[in-house]
Parts: sequence; structure tokens; C-alpha cells
Amino acid sequence: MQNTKTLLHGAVAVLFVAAFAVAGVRGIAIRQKAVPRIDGTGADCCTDAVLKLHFGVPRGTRLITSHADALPHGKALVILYPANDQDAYLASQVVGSALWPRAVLASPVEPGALPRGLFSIPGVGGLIFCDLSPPKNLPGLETVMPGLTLLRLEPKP
Amino acid sequence: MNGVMAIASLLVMSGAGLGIVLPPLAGRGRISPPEAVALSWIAGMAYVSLGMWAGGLVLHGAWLTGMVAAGGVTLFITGLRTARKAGAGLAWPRDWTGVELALCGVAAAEIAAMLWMACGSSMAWDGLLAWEFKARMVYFHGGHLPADYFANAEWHPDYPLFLSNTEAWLYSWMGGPDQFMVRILFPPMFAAGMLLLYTGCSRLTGNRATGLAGACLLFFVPGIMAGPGSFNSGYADFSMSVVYLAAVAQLLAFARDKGGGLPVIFAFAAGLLPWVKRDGAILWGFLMVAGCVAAARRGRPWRTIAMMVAPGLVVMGSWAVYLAAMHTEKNIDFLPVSFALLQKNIGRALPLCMRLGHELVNYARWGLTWRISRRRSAGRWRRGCCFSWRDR
Repeated sequence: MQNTKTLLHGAVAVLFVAAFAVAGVRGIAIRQKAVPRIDGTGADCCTDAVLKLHFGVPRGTRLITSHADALPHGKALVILYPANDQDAYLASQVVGSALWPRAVLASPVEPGALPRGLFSIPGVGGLIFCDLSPPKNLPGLETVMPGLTLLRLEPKP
Repeated sequence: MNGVMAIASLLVMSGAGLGIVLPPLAGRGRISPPEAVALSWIAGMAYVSLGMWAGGLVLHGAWLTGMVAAGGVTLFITGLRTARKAGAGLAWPRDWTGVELALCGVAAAEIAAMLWMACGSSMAWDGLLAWEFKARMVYFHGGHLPADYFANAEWHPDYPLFLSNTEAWLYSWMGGPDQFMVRILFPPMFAAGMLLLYTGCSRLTGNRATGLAGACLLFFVPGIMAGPGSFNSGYADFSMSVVYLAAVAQLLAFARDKGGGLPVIFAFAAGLLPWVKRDGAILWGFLMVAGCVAAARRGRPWRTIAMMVAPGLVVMGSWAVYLAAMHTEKNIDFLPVSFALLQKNIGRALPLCMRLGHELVNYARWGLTWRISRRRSAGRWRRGCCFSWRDR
């Protein structure tokens, strides 16, 4: 009788662990898609992976900094992203951190309603449109990667 | 070369941690090696992050790293000597059964799988923006944060520096930021969580197999293993949960112990919570209430209570003074807590409770964790032993 009880307890424990493991493995498989796979090694590999997940382009940090280097140093940049878009907000923050120690401001805007004053803010050397379509036919527009466009507000030195 | 320097920095860090936890563990007579290893990792990170912060007020660059490293080595030697003088022996587990050995094999396989997963996955949003970014700032400013950092509310300057300063410590050894290598910090924290679950469950139930099974189940909690907030995503949440687990395990050991020892490690781990993350202050408050109840059950509680409360108050107080001295911008994420605000938003209570209910049965994030915990807690309530530490 005692043996049967022990066996029963053992079987229940094994079933419990198996159910826990199956539910866990299924959840892990779902959640693994939410975090990017690392792509290479180096100082910025995680930032690159997050940028790749959002913009679909590898080595994003180098692309962003090389484009920004062409802008006048000592001038701030402003990143514009669509209001009420959490993903775009996070992407703009990562782009801003990739440009550090350069001064970068970020501002949400309503798509299709860019205030004219944006193009003449004193001390700002360029605008970065993150997940936003910039006004067409503007001089100084450069596509850094799909979804990220840079607008030079001053001529190259 | 980066790898060698990173491992050297981690050895110094965990050596310092061992030096901190050995004397109080030795005071109990027998030292459990898994518990000592897990606690030394946590204590090492605490020492390095607090040392970099406090030392950064007067020293910079290599001098700061050197001072913290020298302090760590000194702590290691002093702790080892104190433990030897106390004559405490190591309590190695003996007489393994077949089931226990099988569970050890499962745990080893899980650690291997965890390392494989950690190698391939990147840090996520908050891991980069809220913590690693600050580590870079600290590194490039010779060990302290620049003044303009405190004026930018977007950077959350009021967040404590447990994780960021430990990452900066690694960078200072490697000679530059390296997001690939810095992830070396996260798997040991997961292993520490497993070891603490093992020792805590074994001690509570008196059954080693139950402890091992509890440790093995940690691997099957999806929210911990993958996705934003997981052990490898660079968020402080998992570190905070491991520190909280350490504090709870020590509190339960203190509550069950009939001896007159002071809960030094409990006070240390609980006091560390507000330094890991701002939310840790809430957990600290709950732990202090439970700690006071446990202390009141024994004679002469005031000395014990004062000792339990002091580390947390010192950490929170000194961080608040520092932030005030730096004229830190107000936090933009949370409204200040007030009765009027509570009254105004009372209508949100029901939707929030419903959201919490949905979260508890979110299989993709928690698997069966909360469903089983809920059932177990309900059973304990029915038996009326919810606040008893002596029941099995």
C-alpha cells in the first residue's frame, strides 16, 4: 500500500514537471522571436542587432554615425518620430544613443503635419526622420537606411 | 584579450563578494558552498557598483579601477582569514540518491542550454537604453556620470547604478565598451538564481530532491529565459528578482533558526534591492515588515530590527542626497504618490486587476508558474498556515 502511494506521488510529480516543461518550452519559442539574434561581435553588436530588427539593415550603428559625421560638429540633431508609436519611439532612442556624445533631441510629431519652424531651429544641424516620410524635394536629404532619413540643415563644411 | 580581462575582472569581483559573505556564513558554523557561490556573485556586483559610485566622487580612470580592485582583493583575503578563524567547515552535500543525481544532470544540461541561448541573443531595448548606455557614459567619463546627464530626464538619471556600474567596471578592465563581452555578466546571475532556489527549497522542505527540482524548473519560465526582461536581455529586473530571492531565503532561514544569530545577509540583500532598481524600494519595504515580524517573535528585537533596516536606509538615503546634490531632473515616468492622485485614479483599479489576472495566465510569458503558485497559495490559506514558517 505504501509502495503504491509512493509510486502515485512520483507519477504525479513527473507529470507536473513534464507539464511545466512543455508549457515553458512553448512560451520560450514564442518569446525568442521578440529579441534579435546577435550578429557578429564588437562594441555595438547589440545596438546593431536591435536596429536590424527594426530597420532591417545590418551594421546600423556605423551607418548612422558615418552619415551624422558629415554634419557640422557642435550642432545638435533632432530625431522626429510618429506620435503614439511606441516602437518608433524606442527606435529613435536607440538611434540617439548610437550618436552619443553628440547632442541629440527627440520629438514626436503627427505624421503629415510637420511644423515649418522645425527647419530653422537655432543650433540644430540636422533632422532625422525615424519611421516618418520627410517632405519631398528638400535639398540635403539622405536616406541612411529604409525608415531613417537625414536632413542636413546646413551645407557641408 | 578582452575575454581574458573580462574574466579577470569577474574573478576580482566575485572574490570581493566571497570576502563579504564568508564571515556571516561562517558564523553559522557550516558553510553551504552553493549558497556561498551564489551570494558572492551578488555581493561582488554590489561591492563593485557601490565602490565605483562612491570612489568615483574622488578618483577617476585607472586610479578608480585600481582602488576598487585593491579593495576587492583585500576583502577576499580578510574574509577568508575571518572564516578560517571562525573554524567553519564546508557542508558538501553527501549520499546522493539516484533521483538527485538525475536532477543534477538535468540542471547541468539546462545550464549548458542557457549558455547557448545567452551566446546567441542580444540585449534588448531597456538593456541598452536604461543600463548599458549609462555604463558607456561612466566609462568615458573616467568612472562617474557627467553633469549634463542629471539634467536630461529622458535618460532616467534617478535610476540606481547597480547594473550600469558593474558593466562600466568590465569596460574599464577591457579598455572600452564591448556589448558582446558585457553579456558575460548575465549567465552567472541566472546560475546564482538556480543555486539560491536549490539551497532555499532544500532548507525549507528538508528534501534535497525538492530543492533540485525547484532549481530545474526555473529554466522553464519563458519570461526569464527569452524576450525583453529575460536574464540575458540586460534589464535589471532579473537581477532584482535574484537579490530578492536571496533576501527571502535568508529571512526564512532566520525565522526558522532558533539560535541568536543576526540576519546580516538578509539585511544586506534586502538593503541592496533599492540599489538594483527603483522598484526595489517597495520590495525592501515588504521585506522589512516581514523581518520585523520575524524579529518580534524572538527576544530583544530592537537591535535586530535596527540592523535589518540600516543598510536599506543608508543606500536609499545616500542615493537621494547624491541626486539632490546633482540637481537631478524630476522623473517623467511616474506621478508623485499622493492621496489625491489615488482618489482621482481609483476608477482604474478594476481594469488594473483584470490586467493583472490576464498576466497571471499568460502562458507565453509565465508558462504554468503563476497558475501553480496561485493554487498552492490558496491551499495554504485554506489550511490557515499562510504566515507560518514552520509548516512543511
